[in-house]
Amino acid sequence: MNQRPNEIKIESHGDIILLDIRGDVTAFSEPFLNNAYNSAKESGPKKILLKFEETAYINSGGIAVLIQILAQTRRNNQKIGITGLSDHFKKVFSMVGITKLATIYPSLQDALNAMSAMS
Amino acid sequence: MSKEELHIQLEQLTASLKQAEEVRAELDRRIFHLKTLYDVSKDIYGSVETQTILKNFLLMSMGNFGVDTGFVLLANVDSMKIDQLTQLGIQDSDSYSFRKACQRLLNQNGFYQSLTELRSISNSKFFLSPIILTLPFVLDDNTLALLALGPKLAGDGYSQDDKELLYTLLNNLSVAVKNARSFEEIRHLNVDLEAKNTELKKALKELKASLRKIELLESVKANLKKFVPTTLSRLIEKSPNGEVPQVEERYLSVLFLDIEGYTGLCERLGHTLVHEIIEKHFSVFIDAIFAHNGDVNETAGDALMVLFMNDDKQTNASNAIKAALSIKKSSVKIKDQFSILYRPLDINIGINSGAALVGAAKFESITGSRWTYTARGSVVNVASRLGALARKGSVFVSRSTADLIADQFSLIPKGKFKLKNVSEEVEVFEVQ
Repeated sequence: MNQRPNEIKIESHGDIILLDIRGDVTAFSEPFLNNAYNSAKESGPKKILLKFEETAYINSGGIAVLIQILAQTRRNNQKIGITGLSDHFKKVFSMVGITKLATIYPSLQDALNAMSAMS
Repeated sequence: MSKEELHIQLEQLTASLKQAEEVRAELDRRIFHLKTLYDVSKDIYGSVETQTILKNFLLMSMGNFGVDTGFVLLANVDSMKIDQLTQLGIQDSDSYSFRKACQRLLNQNGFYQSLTELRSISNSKFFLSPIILTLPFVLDDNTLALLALGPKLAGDGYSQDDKELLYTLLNNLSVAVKNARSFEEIRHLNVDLEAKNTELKKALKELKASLRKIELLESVKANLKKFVPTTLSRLIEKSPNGEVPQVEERYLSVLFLDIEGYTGLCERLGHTLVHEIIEKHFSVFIDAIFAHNGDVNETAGDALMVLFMNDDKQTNASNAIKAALSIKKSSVKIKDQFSILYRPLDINIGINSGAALVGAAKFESITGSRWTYTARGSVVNVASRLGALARKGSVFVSRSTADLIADQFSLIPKGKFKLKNVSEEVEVFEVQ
């Protein structure tokens, strides 16, 4: 299976910066995700939401890249949420412990609502 | 069914459900690991850059177990020098210090003795989380390697199954890195080869340019040979800078040759035909002269001045006589090529031997300087006069020459002659 290329849009939703990630997430996504996160943090956001495509394939390499970004958000005292995952990847994320670093939301709206309410 | 029985059945169902969920979770975990194994193979075999392979391998190993900290280190067995070090979960600014610290440990303790220390320095200084698992492995005969991982985010430790999976992944890594190194080696060899090819092309180009120069010089030399006496061209070859040796006295034999009745011949046959006849005759004569080590020093119309000075005086004289006889013989043969000649030309030859001044002479004039290379002295004058004295194609030699070759050739004494501009009478011999 060929990896679908990454395209990441950065949007502001109130005090939340949304990274809308298109394409599959693997080790090769590292520069795209790092660049997007570095761009997003320039405005000093306290809340970051990562949105994936439900059809996206995320392998262990992609998970490690995400963990590195989540570790940075923790270091920068940022709150982080994840949404758009298929049921399979919700289970995988839970299995590898990502849920200890970020909250997984069932939908974009749920994520925006919940994170907007955070102080 | 009683309430109690229902309650028991519910408890059994709940337990079964929990068990089914655990089995399913374990299945999910194993499927995820299998996918990782598949992805690792696919990704790392798809690259030929060792650094990319190591980075992707580390990412996938860490992602598989949900780990935020880890590194892969490759060290040379003999030197303990770090070949490659890839780490995650460390600030970029600390990477250099970490590498230095690793290298120091390897230098001090060697590879296996450094494993515990490597854990402790990474714990205290550099990484997000402490290293809790180190898996050393042998990459190839020259390289020892280490995979180091921090704790799982999920909190559970590394099981035996996890370690077995990691070793399977490491086997794949070893093969991929070996392939990449072979590829890199081939690439370097190709680069070297290209560099050598470029050098060779340059050398070939220079060689061709030199060859062209040599061809040009050879061509100039060949053309000059037509006009320059052999002795002189040899001197120029020996001294390309133009340093002509000084005039020196040398013992030599001088041969003068001319064609009897040349003027009458020109009147009878015309200049063009006579020129052709002379050219053909002289071409054959020059072959005979060269064959006997003589050097045509001057040509003038129907006359040639030839020097024999490259051997000892007896050989020079002998060669001069042999050349003269050969010339006479060839003039008989060449006559057949010219139906207009009713008999062979009479080639009169005079030969004298003795000491003469030989070398370059420089003539300065307002139009510039001109050099000539020749022999001067009474020996040359007498030879010229003997040539003029000879008739009907005879070869006249002086006493000095006769003394040198008397035991080789038959000579007929012709008496003493008073020659023009020569003070004393000269004793003359004819060679039979």
